[in-house]
Amino acid sequence: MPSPDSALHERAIAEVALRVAGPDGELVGVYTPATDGSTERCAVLLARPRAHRNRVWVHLARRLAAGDVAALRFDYAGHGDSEGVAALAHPCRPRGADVAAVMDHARAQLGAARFALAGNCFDARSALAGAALRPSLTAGVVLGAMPVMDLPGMERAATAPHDDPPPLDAGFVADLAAFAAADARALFLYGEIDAELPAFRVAQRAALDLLPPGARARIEVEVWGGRVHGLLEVARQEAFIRRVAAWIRGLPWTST
Amino acid sequence: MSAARVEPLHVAVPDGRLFATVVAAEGARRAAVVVHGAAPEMVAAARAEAVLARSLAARGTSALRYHARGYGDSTGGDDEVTFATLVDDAAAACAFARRRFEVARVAVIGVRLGALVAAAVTARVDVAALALWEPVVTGASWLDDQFRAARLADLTADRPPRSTATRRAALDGGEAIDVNGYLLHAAFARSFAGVALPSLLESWLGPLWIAEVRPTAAPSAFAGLAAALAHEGARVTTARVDASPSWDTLTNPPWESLELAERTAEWLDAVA
Repeated sequence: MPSPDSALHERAIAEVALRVAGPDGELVGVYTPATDGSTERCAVLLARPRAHRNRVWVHLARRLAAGDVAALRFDYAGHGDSEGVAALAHPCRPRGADVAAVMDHARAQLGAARFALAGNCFDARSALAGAALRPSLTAGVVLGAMPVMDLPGMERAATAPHDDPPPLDAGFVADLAAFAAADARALFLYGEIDAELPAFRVAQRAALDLLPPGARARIEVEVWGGRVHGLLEVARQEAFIRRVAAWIRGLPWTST
Repeated sequence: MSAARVEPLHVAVPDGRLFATVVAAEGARRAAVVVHGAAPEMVAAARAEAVLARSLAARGTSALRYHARGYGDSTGGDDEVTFATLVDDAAAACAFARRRFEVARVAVIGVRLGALVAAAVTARVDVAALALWEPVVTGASWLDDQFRAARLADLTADRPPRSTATRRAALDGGEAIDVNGYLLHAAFARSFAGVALPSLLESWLGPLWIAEVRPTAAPSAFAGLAAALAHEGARVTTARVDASPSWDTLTNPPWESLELAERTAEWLDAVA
């Protein structure tokens, strides 16, 4: 990514390093205050480690903050700088409790009122789990290449007939129900060759399409050419940052 | 992992700030600074380095890890990074660690490409000991690896592969090259092209530890280097840690090696 312009450099200089008490140890993170000084709108950005490939989530945080949405990124317990024991990030065991702890901290200490949560892959699943734990605080979730079942299920989803699909993860179904009962919006974002996409197609038929019309209207699904998972190319990273920043900034932040 | 607390903070440098974490050992009289590798190495080894900082603190060595400008949570863009800026930032981190931990000298631990930076900083800072994890021996060899990685990425992504010659020409012409989602900039590549560990360590006579971090069955890559450095008067020892890190790829769960961390801490304990 090229050198930041002066607005982004200003946001980088304004960043605050922080620690948050999480359920499995102290979490280390960075808060990027919004340019206009407002604190109510806050994006929590999820990645492992928190900057991830080519600092995608750092760039996104600073771009959001320059557009007047504060951002907070952190390492889950057992990852990056945070305390805790490293463990496999399993698609059916998201770290929603860490996300909720960070949201609570941002509310109590930083003046945040409503949140956008964003992540890719396991981190998207953790974003949805965090939203399910704090539905009234969540304005929107960006779910990039999100797994909706375990890995064997995802493999089966690619070949299974429509009338015999692999089962969705029960936790995903429960988190989706919690999302549907609240008023948050969701952007599901996949690449057409992502391994997670066939399983998501199962979830569309078995769960998303069955949601009440009001909930379905709050869901956007985008399938991009190529791959979204992993953000393996710089051009794809830049497109992702632009889209996610615009989507989050455009959220209706006031609870209805 | 010990109960030592991690404190995140920022270190002021000209034109910006470095994000850093410190782990202070109670009553410590020693301190160490960890110099991360190139961008993908830094991300892939982040957890291993965090484990190292805690292991150091558990053995009485306070530790500072930092992100150089253009990396991680620090200020700056990746197009501004050169070997010189990396050495400047390492020197600034060492100076901060000396003040923060109230020690006269610091040990420096360099990881992969960060080994070249760590070695260079010995000419700028009073370094008590130098430990290198699977060091990159020359900037040129590291660049060759990047071209190979880019070609492999073409093949796995089912793209028509660009030849290494084409990529080299593009880089020589000032173009930045995408290697697995990281931009390799021409200025960065040029700045490392002539950098070599043996020449950086020519006048370093302090204790030097080189950790080979690879499966036991893999051949040694550093025996010749260690012998050559010893011949020049260096106090060098090597160690073998049986591990299979992927230095430029993120793994799930994140790679870490308690053995590597503890052996590094033990060595510093013995010499620093």
